[in-house]
Amino acid sequence: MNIFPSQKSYEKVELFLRRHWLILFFIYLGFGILTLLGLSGFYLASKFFILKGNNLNLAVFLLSFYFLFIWYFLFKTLTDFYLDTWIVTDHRILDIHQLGLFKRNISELRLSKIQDVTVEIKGILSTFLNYGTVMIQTAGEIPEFTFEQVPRPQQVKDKILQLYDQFIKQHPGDEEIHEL
Amino acid sequence: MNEFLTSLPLIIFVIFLISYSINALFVVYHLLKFGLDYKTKVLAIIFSSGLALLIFINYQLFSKIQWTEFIYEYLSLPKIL
Repeated sequence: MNIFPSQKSYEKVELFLRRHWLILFFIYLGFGILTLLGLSGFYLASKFFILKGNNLNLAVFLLSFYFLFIWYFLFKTLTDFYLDTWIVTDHRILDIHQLGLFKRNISELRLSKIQDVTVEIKGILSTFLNYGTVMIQTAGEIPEFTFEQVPRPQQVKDKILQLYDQFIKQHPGDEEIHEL
Repeated sequence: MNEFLTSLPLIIFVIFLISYSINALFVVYHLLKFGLDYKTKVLAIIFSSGLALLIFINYQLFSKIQWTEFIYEYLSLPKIL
């Protein structure tokens, strides 16, 4: 079964990565705060103004209108989160990057083009929750592939290097091209 | 003039809802078309059902408001309009 549309029949997906769950947590936290702000705004309005009759109807409508916006922006942010993916197969690496609604970058790298893999874990949260950035130097058109804020970056790096070795062994032709 | 003023909020609200729904449809389209696993499909279902509910609630609340009262009293327009 194909996991992504351009997957070849002989290709096996080894890693399917998204950003760490902490990023998702921050998104939910931000929107939780916005929801609380809306509710507290309504509460304060009811404390300082006499809300009854038409005024109350208007205040409730404005609150619900505010939630309509929050709902949209929450899901727009979640769409960005879920559509940013990195796929590592036994033949290539795909970097799918969603920028807003109408910009989408898909970069592809054959494993034989890998030159160097670097892991960067920066900050307290990244250290304790084990997430970070994996940077892949390439010999291809795009000089660097970056997996941003992915979980277990060290294991990701090890897996990529293991797949690279495996690929080079199985495809000696590519090895020669790589050495050129 | 009178009729136009009283129906103006409804016209603005409907135009807003249409443009908002088009934007929301783009989000759902992206989730369904480019999503690579079940999570994005689930997200699209939650988003669209929540959105439909919110639009319905908003419309109900909107129709409860006596807009003419606001237009005449809060904007200090003469009732002769």
